[in-house]
Amino acid sequence: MGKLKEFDIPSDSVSEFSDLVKELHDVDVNLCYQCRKCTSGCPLTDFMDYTPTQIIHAVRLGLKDLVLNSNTFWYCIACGTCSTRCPQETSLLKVMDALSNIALKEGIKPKAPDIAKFYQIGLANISSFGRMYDLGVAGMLKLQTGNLTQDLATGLKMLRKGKLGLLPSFQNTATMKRIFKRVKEREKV
Amino acid sequence: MRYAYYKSCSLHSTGKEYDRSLRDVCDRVGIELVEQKDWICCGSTLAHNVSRLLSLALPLKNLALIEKSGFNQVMVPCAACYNRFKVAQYEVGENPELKAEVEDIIEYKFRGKVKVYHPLEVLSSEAVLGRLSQLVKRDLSSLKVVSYYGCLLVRPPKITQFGDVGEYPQTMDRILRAVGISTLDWSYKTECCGGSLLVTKPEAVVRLTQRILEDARAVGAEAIAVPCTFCHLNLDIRQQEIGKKYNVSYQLPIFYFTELVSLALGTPEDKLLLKMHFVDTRTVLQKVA
Repeated sequence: MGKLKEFDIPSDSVSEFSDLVKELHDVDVNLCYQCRKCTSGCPLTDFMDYTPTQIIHAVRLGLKDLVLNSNTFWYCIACGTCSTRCPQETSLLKVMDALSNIALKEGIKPKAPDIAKFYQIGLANISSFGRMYDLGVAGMLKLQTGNLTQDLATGLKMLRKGKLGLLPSFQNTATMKRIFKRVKEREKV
Repeated sequence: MRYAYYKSCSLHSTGKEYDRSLRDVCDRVGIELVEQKDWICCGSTLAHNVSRLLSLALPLKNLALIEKSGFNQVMVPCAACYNRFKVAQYEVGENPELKAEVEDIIEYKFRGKVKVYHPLEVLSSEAVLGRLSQLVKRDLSSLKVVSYYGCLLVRPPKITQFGDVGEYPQTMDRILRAVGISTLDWSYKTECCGGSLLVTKPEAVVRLTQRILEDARAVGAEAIAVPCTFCHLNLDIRQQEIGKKYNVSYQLPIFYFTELVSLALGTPEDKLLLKMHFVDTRTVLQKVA
């Protein structure tokens, strides 16, 4: 069975927010007919304040504040179950990415601050070293979230097993920095 | 067969044992891996949450470097990198304007399309399977294993184009069976382990991995085989903690599938890095042979 075409909605009734998501990530939330297969398959709904099905509907309705202040897209770990099973091939993976991209760009205080911090610190880390320096990311994250003791035991276990390098190694850092710079220049426009 | 080898950040750190055993298996079946010196991190879970352009530029820069060095195929053992490489290729393949923009950022114009392969795809070809069965030196037939594939290789199938069935893959089962290891049927082959939430939301990872461990135990598995460094760490590192919380002792060693193949082909245990595992592997291996 082929997918349904986009509903014949006059352009002025489509929300600005769904247009923004479409423009940034090539994904059309108007294709969704709320069958809830995404939510049924999502392994993290227990932790989310709104289900993926609710979020996509809220994007369509233009409820930007509600959506960007939810924790749903932060908890999304991009396992792809939703996008695999969607009968309309609406990529919720892309919707979730679009939401975290927009939230960070607009400086919205993340509902799951440690997850957002992890992405930002992790990226700063690879831009400095060219590759991931796990111990550096873990250390910075603990410092910046003030959560010094959580999971210390796990970190120590990893160190003992030789799974974390004590010192960073540098990998093609000039190339890495140049890409970060060139992306940033474009995103400012 | 000759492949460029993108070794990934994770195979330099948490997954050194994966690298060791993969190289050993490839050596034995005559697959040459040429490690890329000129590489950078692909952005993994981090970049796509922050910037779409960055999440495309990083993997494509790596593919550009690979194409430039004269290769048209690359082996990518880390499932997260594999996924990001495939997503990037798919996205720019669908949108010529985006492709031009990313090519401008990375200052390279692609001549063709570098083929991205995961070791599971390469090692499950008929020719390699035949070769593997001929090379078996150690009888591991009494070891009962479940193959766990995780998310990132198989989903979304339209994008990753992983050479297998999306929600019920078989490649790892075929490879392990070719070297005489029995794999069991089970329901959690492609359920998510929680990935990088290990760092930020360990309670979520505990919940997700417990379900996976529980189903493995329920079907009678003695070990779990994995093709991904995230899955390996998540399933391996917290078994004790999960056991305490749910009042059950799993003691299920988590092997990279290449470690099991390597052992079956006769590589001595001390040549692999099995000591880096958190759940002890010796008890199970001593029992089988």
